[in-house]
Amino acid sequence: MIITNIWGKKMSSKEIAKERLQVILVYDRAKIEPKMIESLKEDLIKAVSKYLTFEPDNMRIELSQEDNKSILRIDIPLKE
Amino acid sequence: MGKSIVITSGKGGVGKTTAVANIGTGLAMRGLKVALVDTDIGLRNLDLLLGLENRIVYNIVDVVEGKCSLKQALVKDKRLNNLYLLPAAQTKEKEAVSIDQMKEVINDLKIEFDYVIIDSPAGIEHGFKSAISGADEAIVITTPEVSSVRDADRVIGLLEAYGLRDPRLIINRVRFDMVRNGEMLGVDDLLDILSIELLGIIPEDENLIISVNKGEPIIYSGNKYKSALAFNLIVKRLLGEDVSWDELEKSESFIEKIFKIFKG
Ligand SMILES: Nc1ncnc2c1ncn2[C@@H]1O[C@H](COP(=O)(O)OP(=O)(O)OP(=O)(O)O)[C@@H](O)[C@H]1O
Ligand SMILES: [Mg+2]
Repeated sequence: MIITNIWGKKMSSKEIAKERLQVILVYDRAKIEPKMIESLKEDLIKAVSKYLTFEPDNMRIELSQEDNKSILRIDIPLKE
Repeated sequence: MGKSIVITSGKGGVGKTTAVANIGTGLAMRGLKVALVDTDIGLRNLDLLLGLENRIVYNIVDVVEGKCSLKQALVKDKRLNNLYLLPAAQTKEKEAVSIDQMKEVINDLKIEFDYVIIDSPAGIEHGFKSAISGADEAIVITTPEVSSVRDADRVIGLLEAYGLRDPRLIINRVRFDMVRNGEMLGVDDLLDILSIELLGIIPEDENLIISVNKGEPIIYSGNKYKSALAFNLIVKRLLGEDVSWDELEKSESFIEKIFKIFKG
C-alpha cells in the first residue's frame, strides 16, 4: 500500500513505520511525551512575545539525539 | 566457568522461549554442556517446547526454598545427555524467586555448564530484573513491528543501565517478501533505528508450529527448514564463527518462489 506523507512524498508502510519509530524513540529515550513539547511551545510563545517580536508559525522545536544525549533545539526567527 | 546468556524482549510473544529452546539445543548438538533456565514463573513454557513436561519433578522455586538440590531439579533432555532444563514453577507467584536467589542459581549452574541460557518473561518488572541478574550477556529479540521494536529499545536501555553492555539483537518472524515490497521493516531499518549489533535473523516459519506440537525444537531438522537454518547460523555466530546472512534469504525454497511468481 502506498500512502503519501505530509510533504506529498510517496511512502510505503515500511517507511511510515520507520519514520514513526525514529520519532517516538527519541521521545522515549528522553523520557518526554510528545504532547509535552507542544505545551512547552505554547508557553514559550507567551514568554518570548513579552520581550521580542516573532512569527509563532516560524518557530521550530525539535528533540534529537546525538551521542546518546537528548538535545532540544529551539529556533525562533525574529522579525526585522 | 561457563557463560550465562539471557534472552529477553520487553514485549511478549515475540519468540524468546522458541529462541532459547533452539539455540540451547543447537549448542548442545555441538557437544557443549548446556543448561536452559525458565524464569517465567507461573507461565512455564520451555518444558513444552522441549517435550520435557512429563519429566519435571522439582522446579526453580523448590531449589531456592531448599526443598531439593539444584541437581535434583535439573531435567535431562530426551535426546541429548548434555542438555538440561531447570523448569519454572507453574503455580507459584511471580516473585517467588528473589533477584539475589536467581543470581546464585545461575552462578551455581555456570560452574557445571558451558552455557546457561536464560528465558526471560515478558515485561520489565521483577521477572525481567531477576532473569537478567545472573547473565553475563544479553540477547534482545524483536519482531519487525513498531510496538515490538519500541519495547526492544526500552529493554536495550534498561540492560545497559543494569550493566549488561552491548546486548545483541535477534530479529524474528521476518518475511523477506514483505520487506521487498515495502510492507515490513527490514534488517537494515531495524539496525538504523536501534543502535545494537545484529546476532541473527529468523524468518517467519509455519513449521515451528509442528515442532511445538511435537515438543521437538526445529533445529533438530538440520537445515531443512528456514528457521532451523537461521538458528544454526545464530549458534555459529555465538560460537564466534563468521556468518553471512545472505544465505537465509537465498534459502527461501524454489517452490516458494515459483508460487510467488504465479501469485504475482
Ligand atoms: N519465526 C517464527 N515463525 C512463526 N511463528 C513463530 C516464530 N517465532 C515464534 N513463533 C510463534 O510465536 C509464538 C510465541 O513464541 P514464544 O512463546 O517463543 O514467544 P515468547 O517471547 O517466549 O512469549 P512470552 O512473552 O509469552 O514468553 C509461538 O506460537 C511461536 O510458535
Ligand atoms: Mg516465553
